[in-house]
Amino acid sequence: MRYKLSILPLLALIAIFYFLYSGLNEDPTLIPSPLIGKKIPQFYSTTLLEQKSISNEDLIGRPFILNVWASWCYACTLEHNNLLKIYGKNTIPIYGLNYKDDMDSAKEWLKSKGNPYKRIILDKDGNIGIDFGVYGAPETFLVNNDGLIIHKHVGPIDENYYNKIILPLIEK
Amino acid sequence: MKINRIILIYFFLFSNVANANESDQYNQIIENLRCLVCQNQSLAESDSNLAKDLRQKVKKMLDTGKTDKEIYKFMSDRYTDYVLYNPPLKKSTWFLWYSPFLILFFSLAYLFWSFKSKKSLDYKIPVSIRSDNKSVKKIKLENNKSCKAYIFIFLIVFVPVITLSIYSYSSELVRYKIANYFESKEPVIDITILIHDDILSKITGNEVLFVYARRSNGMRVPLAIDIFDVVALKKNYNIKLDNTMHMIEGQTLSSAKEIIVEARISRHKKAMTSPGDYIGRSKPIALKSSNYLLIRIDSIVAG
Repeated sequence: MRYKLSILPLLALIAIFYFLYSGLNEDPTLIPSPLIGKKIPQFYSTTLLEQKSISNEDLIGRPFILNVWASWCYACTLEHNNLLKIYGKNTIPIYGLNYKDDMDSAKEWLKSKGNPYKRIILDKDGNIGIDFGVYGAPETFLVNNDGLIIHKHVGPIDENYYNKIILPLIEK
Repeated sequence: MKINRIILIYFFLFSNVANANESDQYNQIIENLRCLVCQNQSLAESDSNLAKDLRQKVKKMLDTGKTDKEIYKFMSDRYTDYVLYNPPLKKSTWFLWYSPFLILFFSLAYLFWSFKSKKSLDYKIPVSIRSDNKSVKKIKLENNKSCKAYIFIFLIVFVPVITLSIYSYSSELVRYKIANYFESKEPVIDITILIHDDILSKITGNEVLFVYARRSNGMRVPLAIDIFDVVALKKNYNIKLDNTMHMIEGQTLSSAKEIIVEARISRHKKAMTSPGDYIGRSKPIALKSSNYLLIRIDSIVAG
């Protein structure tokens, strides 16, 4: 009995090592958003192309995607085709948050690559980004028709994003 | 003259003290917030764009009179507790905080119990063996040996595990401070200078801005100095001081234990402080590898 029990510390040690080891495989840069389930933060800004004023109230009413992007952001070019595909499906509007970008190069970027966005919100100094808890572009938020954030994706979205994330969540 | 002095006293009494505290508070807050895109750097250390934005945000919030608590809450509301170097005690982190003590408690209980069960073993030795003195001694000896082995295992396995987990879970701030202590990088002071509105309105653009660090013990020799032309209506300046900006060989930022940074706007473009100059200074600070300071120019040197 005594000798069997002496295995306990060893098991405990193995368990600790297991947890430490599994920590190695986690991506430490991924931060869960505390905003999920909360209303989108308030903002007042102008749109990039029309130069009209836009606020959080203007977006609420139906589900939408908010995509944080910038022309300086390489990963944004990687996901751009996937955004265009979602735009082509014509089921859910995509709003862009032009994060800390130069207006002219942003327009240029859209001209050459295509524009999947319904409206693009300007965030020149990154303040709206801070309110959305953005820590790097691209980030993609999914918002339901009450204006609640129901999903957040950090990094470029892939081909499966629409089928795997958007469809099940908006069908709910 | 009298009016000048009164103004100076007024500024010292009401704004300077408060601002010195505020810049202290600012430095403390950005040290306690983690930069999100660069692992294991605080907002104070990081040069990333996001860190710069967040520092700016902290500064703004302080300017509008927000408390530390409100700022920490603002950050954790948006970036989770991960952004705080001192995460609050919550149900989900309870295990992290108390697991070292739990482990200690259980291992001590285990040790105690195993001692006890060994003692009781003596009574369980069959009478037939007990009568044989030699074999009793042998069993006792063996028990003694395994006791020592237990203590040995305890020391080898649990003590490092407990100390390590206490060390790593207690506070990342402590870890980062220890790591920082052994790192002897050359100090850089990142300074934001804000000019008081009343002074700003009197600036014509013909002035010169001196920014210099000197020892806090009273030696006037600047350890690092930089000079700028003042632009009319420009409210804030961002300036860096480092070891290369010394005036006298050997008298660098690294050579000082504690320094004070002063920013002075001089109409006469003189290196020595003269009446009519506008001045602001930091509290004495001990230099680390990277330092951030907020200095407000809000006093007038009386003549």
